[in-house]
Amino acid sequence: MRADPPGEPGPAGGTRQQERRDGPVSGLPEPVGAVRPSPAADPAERFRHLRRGGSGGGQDRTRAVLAEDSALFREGLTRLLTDAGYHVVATAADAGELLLQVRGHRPDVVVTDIRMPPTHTNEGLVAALQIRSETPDVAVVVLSQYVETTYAVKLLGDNPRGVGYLLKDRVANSQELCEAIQRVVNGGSVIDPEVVAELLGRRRGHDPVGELTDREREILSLMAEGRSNQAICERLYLSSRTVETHVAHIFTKLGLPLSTDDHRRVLAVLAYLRS
Amino acid sequence: MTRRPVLLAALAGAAVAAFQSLTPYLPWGWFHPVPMNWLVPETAVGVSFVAAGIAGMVRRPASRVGALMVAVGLAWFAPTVGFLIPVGIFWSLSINFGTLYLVLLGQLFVSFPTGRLRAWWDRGVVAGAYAWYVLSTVAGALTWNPAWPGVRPWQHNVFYAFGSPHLNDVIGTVGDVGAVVLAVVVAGTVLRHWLRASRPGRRALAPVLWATAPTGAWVILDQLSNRVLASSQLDHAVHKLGYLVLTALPFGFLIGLLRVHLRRGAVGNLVVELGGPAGPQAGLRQALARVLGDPSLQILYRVPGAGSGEFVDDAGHPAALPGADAGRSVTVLDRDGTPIAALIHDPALDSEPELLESAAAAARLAIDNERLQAEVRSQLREVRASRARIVEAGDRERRRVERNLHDGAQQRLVTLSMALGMIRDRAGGCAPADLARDLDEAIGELRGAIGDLRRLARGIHPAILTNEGLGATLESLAARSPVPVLVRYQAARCAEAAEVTAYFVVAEGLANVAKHARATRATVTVTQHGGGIRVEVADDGVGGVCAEAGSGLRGLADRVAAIGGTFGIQSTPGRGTRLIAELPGDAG
Repeated sequence: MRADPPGEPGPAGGTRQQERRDGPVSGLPEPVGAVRPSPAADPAERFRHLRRGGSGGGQDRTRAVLAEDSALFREGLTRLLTDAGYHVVATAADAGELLLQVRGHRPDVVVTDIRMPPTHTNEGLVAALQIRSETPDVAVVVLSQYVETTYAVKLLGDNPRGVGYLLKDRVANSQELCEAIQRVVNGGSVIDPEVVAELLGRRRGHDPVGELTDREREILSLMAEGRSNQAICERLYLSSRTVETHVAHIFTKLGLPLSTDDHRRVLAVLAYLRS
Repeated sequence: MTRRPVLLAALAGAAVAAFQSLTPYLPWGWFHPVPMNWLVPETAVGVSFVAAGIAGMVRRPASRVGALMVAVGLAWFAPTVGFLIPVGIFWSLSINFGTLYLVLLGQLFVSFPTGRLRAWWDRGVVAGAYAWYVLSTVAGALTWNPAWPGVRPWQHNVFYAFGSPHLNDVIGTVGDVGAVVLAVVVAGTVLRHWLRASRPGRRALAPVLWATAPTGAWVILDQLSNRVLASSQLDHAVHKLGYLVLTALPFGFLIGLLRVHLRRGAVGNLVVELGGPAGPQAGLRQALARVLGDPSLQILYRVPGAGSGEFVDDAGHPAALPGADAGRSVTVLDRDGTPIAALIHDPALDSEPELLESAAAAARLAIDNERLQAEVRSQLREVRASRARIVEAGDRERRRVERNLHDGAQQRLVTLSMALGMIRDRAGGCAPADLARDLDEAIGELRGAIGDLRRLARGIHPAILTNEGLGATLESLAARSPVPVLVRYQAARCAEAAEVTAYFVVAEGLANVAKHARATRATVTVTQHGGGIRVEVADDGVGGVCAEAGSGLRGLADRVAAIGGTFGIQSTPGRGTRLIAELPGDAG
C-alpha cells in the first residue's frame, strides 16, 4: 500500500505556499501527501490541529471533505483518499450539505463532483465558487464530467490559488489524482491535461502556437495545467535554466508579457489559449 | 302557372294582329281603301313588341322586361284597333289615350334588364312619365274636338267638355315639351345605368344604350315636326323613321336580355369580390345587398354545433329568424342538409328565385370558403404548435438521455475504473508484472470508453448550453473544429428553444465546413435580431452547397421552421457558404 503519493511541492516549490500559509509548519520539510498547513487566522483551529496532531502520531494529515451524490463512488473515493493518507472528515451528497460541512469542518481541501442534485448540471462548480469566496483558505478540487474550458476558467476566476479542475476519469489513477490534489492543497492550480490539450489543439487563423517546437508546446501545456517551473523541471528532467529559457521563448513567440508569478502565468496562458 | 301569362300575351297579340290584318276585308269597310303603307308597319311594330316580349318571358322568366314589351306591343295596338272600330267611344279613346305605349316604352328603358324599378331616381322618372301622360291626355281629351274636313259621323271626341283651338294648342305644346323632356331624361337615365354598371352589366345594357339614341331622336323629331317645323314631308319621313325604330327596338331589348343577365353578372362579380383579400365577412352583406338590390338584406350565421334554429349576426350576437308575419322573407343556405346561414330579405325578391339562388350560391361559397380557411388556419396553427412541441419534446429527450449517460453509464464506468485503479495499487509490487500490465490495459480501455461516452453525451446535448449559455457553447464548438473558427457573440441570452436550435445550426454548419467546404477559416456570428437572435455561419470554402443537398441542412431548415424561425443558405461555387438562421426569442 502506498501511503505517500509523491507530490511536487517540496520546500523548493513552497514560495507560494509561504505566501498563503505562513504557519509554523510551512517551512519544515514535510512528507508529501501529509501536508498540514495551519489555517492562518484562526487560533482555535490552530489549537485543535495541534492537539489532534498529537494524537495522530505526530503526523498531520490533510483534512478533506468530499461531495458526491453517488454513494458507491463517494465511498470508493473516501477509501482512495484515506489510503493515500488524507483524513476525510466529512462527505456530502449534494451542494447544500457540502457548504454546511465546509463551514463546520474548515477542511484543507474540498473534492467535489460537478454534477449533483437537484439539476445534475454544475451545482458542484457553483458550490466551489461559493466556498472560495467564503473561505479562501480552503483548497477546492472540482471533479468534472465535462471537457469544458469555460468551467475551468470560471473556477479559476482571477485568483487561481488552491483550485483545480480535473476530469472525474482521473480517479482511475490514484497517484495522479492525489498528486494533483496535493498541488492544489499547496496553493497551486490544476487544470486537467485533457482540457489543456483541447485548448492547445484549437485551430486559430494566425496560430503562433503552431510555431512552437514540440518541447515548447509540452512546456506550454504543463504551464496551462498549472505547474510551476520547478515542477516542469522535475517532470521533464530538465534543468531550471533550460526551462526558464523555453518559457521565455514561448512568451516571446506568443507575444505575452513574461510573468514570474506562476498564478498570473496560468491565467495569462489560459486567456491566450482561449482567445 | 308561368305558362299562362305567356299564353295570354300570345293570344292577345295574335288576336289584335289578326284583326288589324283583316281590317281591309271587314264588312263595314269604312276605311276604303285601307292604306297598306300605314297598316303594315303599324302592325309590324306591335307584332314585333309582342313577339320579342313573349320570347323574353319564356327565356328570362325572372325578368319583367318580356311582359313589359308585350304591354308596349298591346298598348301600341290598342289605338289602332280603336281607330278601326266605327264607334265614337272607341275612336275617342284611341285618339286621346293612344300614347300610353310611349310611357310604357320609357318604363322599359328605365327598368331594363330586370323590368323592376328599384332606385328612387328610376321610380321618379317613370312616375313623372305617367303623370305627364295622365295630365296631357286628360287635358287634351277635355278640350279637343276634331274639326277637319271629311270627318266621319263617329269621329267626334266624346270626352270634349269645353275649349278653343288656342287652349288646345297650348295644352298640346306643353304636352309635347313634356314628352321631349321625358325622352331626354329617360336617355340620361339609361346612360347613367350604363356608366354605373359592372362589366357584365354593361354588356347587357349596350344594345339598349344604342337603341336610346334613335328612339330619343325619333320622339324629339316627332314633336318638332308636328309643332315647330310643320312640314308634311318631314313629318312623313319622321313617321317612317318611327316605324323602323320601333320595329327594331324590341329585338334590341331581347338581345340585351338574352346576352347576359345583368344581376347574375353581378353575382359573378360578387363571387370575385368575396374571394378578395378582405374576406367575406367584411363585405358579404353589403355586396349581397347591392347585387340583390335590397339594402335591408341581413345575413344570419348558424353557430356550428348549435340547434337548427339558432343564428347569430355578423357581430356574433344571437338573432332570431323573423316570423311569417314580419313582412320579411327568409332564404336558408344549407350544406348537406344542414343550415349554415340565412338571408333575410325583401319579399319582392321571392319573385326572382333564379337571382336569389345565384346570390345564395355565391354567399354559400363565400361562407364555406371562409369556414374552410378558418379550419385550415386553425389546423395550420395546430400543426405548427405540435411541430414545435415535437421538437421541444425531442430536446427534452436528448437532455434526459445526456443526463442518463452522465449519471448512469459514465458514472458506473468511472467508479469501475477507480476500483480497478485501487486494485492495481493494492496489488502493488507483489503482483506478477503481467497482471499489473493487464490491469493497466483494462484501465486504459475503460478511460477510452469513458471518453467516447463523454463525446457521445456531448453530441446528444451539450450540458454547458444550459448552464453557461450559447456564447460559451459556441466557443467550445469552435475549439473542437479542425478549421479555425472565429466566434463573434453579440447577443443576450434568449429562449432555450432558440439557443438549442442555434447550437444545432452552428454544430451542423461547422461539421459541414470541416467535411466539405475545404475552407481555411470560418466565422460564427450571433447578433440580436428583433426579439430573437440571428445566427450566421460563414466560411471561405468552395461553396456550391444546395439546400436540398444534405439531409442535415434539410433537417436544420425544418428545425428552425419548427420554432418559427427562418433559415437560408447562400452558397455560390467558389465563394464560400453562408448559413443564416433567424430565430424568434419567444420560442415560436
